[in-house]
Amino acid sequence: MIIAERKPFAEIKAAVAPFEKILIAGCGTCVAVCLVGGEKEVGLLASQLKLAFGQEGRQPKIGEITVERQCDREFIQPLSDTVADYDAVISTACGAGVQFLAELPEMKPVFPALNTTFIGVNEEAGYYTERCRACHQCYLGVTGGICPQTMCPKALLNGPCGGNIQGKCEVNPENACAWCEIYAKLEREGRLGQIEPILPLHPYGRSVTPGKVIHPAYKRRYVVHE
Amino acid sequence: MEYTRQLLEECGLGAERLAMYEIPASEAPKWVAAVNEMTEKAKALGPNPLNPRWGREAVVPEEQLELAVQR
Repeated sequence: MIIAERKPFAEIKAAVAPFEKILIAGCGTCVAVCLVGGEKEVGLLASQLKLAFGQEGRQPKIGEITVERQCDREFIQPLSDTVADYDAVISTACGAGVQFLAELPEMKPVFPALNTTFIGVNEEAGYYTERCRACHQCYLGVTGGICPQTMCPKALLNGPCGGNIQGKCEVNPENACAWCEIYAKLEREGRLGQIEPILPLHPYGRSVTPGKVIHPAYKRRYVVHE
Repeated sequence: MEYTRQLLEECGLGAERLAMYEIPASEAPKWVAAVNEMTEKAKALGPNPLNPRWGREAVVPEEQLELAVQR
């Protein structure tokens, strides 16, 4: 899922300070799971803003709404009507959700409440680690389920480099060397031979932004010519 | 607890208004000390800045009770 962190409160407050009617729009998917942008966190932010503005003698109208996903038009479409009563919107979604929300017709100025961090996993409650860089070409089948693009800071496809110190990474000695891990895993599984062929150059050309994917079943609908 | 203290600090109410004490059921003096400490702290910090009576003299609980009885 997408992992994000909440922006410092002062930054959020400064962004919406000029407005009197503020809607906080939450997202009930990834950012709700990583405890930064779901219904509860929307409530927390609303309370904080009310308390902070209250001390300045201001009582702005602060509304709260949380949708299933802000990266899906069917869920955010109804917000076009909701925002009619507001001057500004704070979105607690990831960067994708914030942009999709801002694209809606009749949308008011949208401000992000989060810094989107990475695609990662839930190690334990409140503890998330990165696993995927969405690099357009997955090598996990060859590398024993350990990603050389993400887990190796140099994103080496043919590792390890000479910098590993007894299986630890020279960039951050707290981390294991991804390529040492890959080697050990494949050795355990008896398929070391599969990393002998040199992996070709990573198709960085495909990573040019903004990316686009059209499912093969929908090619006719979106008139894709091959 | 620490996170809630941070939230309070960020919005200007002050982290020191919230504290957690761990007191065994058999340690009454510790409970008294904690209550006294928190009371002193609350008095030193002054009334809630968001209280509509802020700026005027605070109404102490006994006076509130008297007012309620009179009504």
